[in-house]
Amino acid sequence: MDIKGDRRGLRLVISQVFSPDALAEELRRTLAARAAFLGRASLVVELPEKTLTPQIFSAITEVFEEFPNLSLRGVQEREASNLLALDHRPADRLVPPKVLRQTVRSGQRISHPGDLIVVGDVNPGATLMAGGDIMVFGWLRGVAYAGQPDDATRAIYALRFDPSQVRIAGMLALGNADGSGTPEKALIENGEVVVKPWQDIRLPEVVTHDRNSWLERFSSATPS
Amino acid sequence: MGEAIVITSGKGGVGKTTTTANIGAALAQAGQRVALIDADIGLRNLDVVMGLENRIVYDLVDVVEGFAKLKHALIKDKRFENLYLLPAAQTRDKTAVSPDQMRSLVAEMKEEFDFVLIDCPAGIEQGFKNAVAGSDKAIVVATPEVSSVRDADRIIGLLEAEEKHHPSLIVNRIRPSMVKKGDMMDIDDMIEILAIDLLGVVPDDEFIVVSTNRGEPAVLNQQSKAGEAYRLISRRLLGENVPLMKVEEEGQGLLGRLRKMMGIKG
Repeated sequence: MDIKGDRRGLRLVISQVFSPDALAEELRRTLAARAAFLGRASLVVELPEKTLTPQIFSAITEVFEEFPNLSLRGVQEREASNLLALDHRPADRLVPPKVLRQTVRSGQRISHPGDLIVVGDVNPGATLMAGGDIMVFGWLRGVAYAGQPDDATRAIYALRFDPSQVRIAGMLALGNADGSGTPEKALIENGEVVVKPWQDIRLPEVVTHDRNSWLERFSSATPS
Repeated sequence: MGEAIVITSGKGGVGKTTTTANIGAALAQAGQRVALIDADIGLRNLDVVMGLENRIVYDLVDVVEGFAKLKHALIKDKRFENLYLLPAAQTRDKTAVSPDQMRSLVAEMKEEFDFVLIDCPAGIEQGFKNAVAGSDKAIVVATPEVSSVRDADRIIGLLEAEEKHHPSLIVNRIRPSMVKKGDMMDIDDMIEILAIDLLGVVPDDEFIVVSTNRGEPAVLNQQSKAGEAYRLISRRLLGENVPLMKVEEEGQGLLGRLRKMMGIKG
């Protein structure tokens, strides 16, 4: 692992291919060894081509959390077009939204680096985690984490909004049992999580564009 | 070729064993050839509930390990034309058998019987995996309590992940008077969360305690409300379209809603 500086700032260049665990260990050692040199720097981590996976990404962010003086500006593959910059809302541009048409049940944990859309209920005991927004076209009663790890511009939407807990970026809020039963959304305003009515409800294009197959599934699920 | 149905719940103490014993007895009464498997190795109960405890010679683990032939381990219940029990081992634990062994055991039993009912242990570990392995269908038993519904939801999620069991729900131990006062979850709430078909509703019935202690399934007693509910469930399993049991004195409110629900859910 080399640390290079140019007009774009400091880059930590990884030229080998690692498993997430090995990468975390190597990264930890490099950062610890260069801690004095790096001071309070912010870094871009550069990986070999086609090696950036969600596992690698979270391994890197976890190691950086252990070094409070350093900040991770982004993770990118060698090719510059694949820049995954944390402060530039990466998820919606680079990762297509994930759509689930099912009841998400207790004990199930769904995570996705981009937007996460559920057409169905999210039951108590279920967990949703997204790098982007979370939309539930159903009854949200489980736990929902949006904008992970640190995108405070994200929101959580649900047609029936009764989550047991929500988190947007690092801000956490506990649900209360007296939900209004109407569509609501949670977002961050002035540094705290607020819940507001959700008025401009529409199904995202990603849900409607294959509407036919969805209707087929729906009709086959309800015997006459 | 028969059908293997696992009776499961996630949470303990909601009535899996009682349900297995009673549905099995009711199906046998209706002329079906039925075998019950107690998959709760190490904590066997089904034999006690059936009153067959002192007739156990060989058990499920003996069969799987080849110490005994299946026909020698099966205990015939003399009160019925065609009801048999394959008891669990009491001295071993869940790791004594594997899902593959269960699969071939159940397949062998389906050759001989119309229904093979598998009484699943509580939990989601090895015992659950064994019990579910050979089954074609699943019945999830839940009582009208938040904890029971939560665990049932978890179990349904695990069953759905395998995309084959088509779980249906039995709501056990419902008390109409408490539902009416709003002190107990009502069936609509449970169905809304669990989003699966309702197979039956069994009222809370003190007679179940008596019948469990005596080892006589409640379906043998014509006076027992729960026994009647299990008879209706067994008819539904045989493909008959029977209305849900009347569990409220006046009948209109809950029953009306249940009828409506059955209409929707098929």
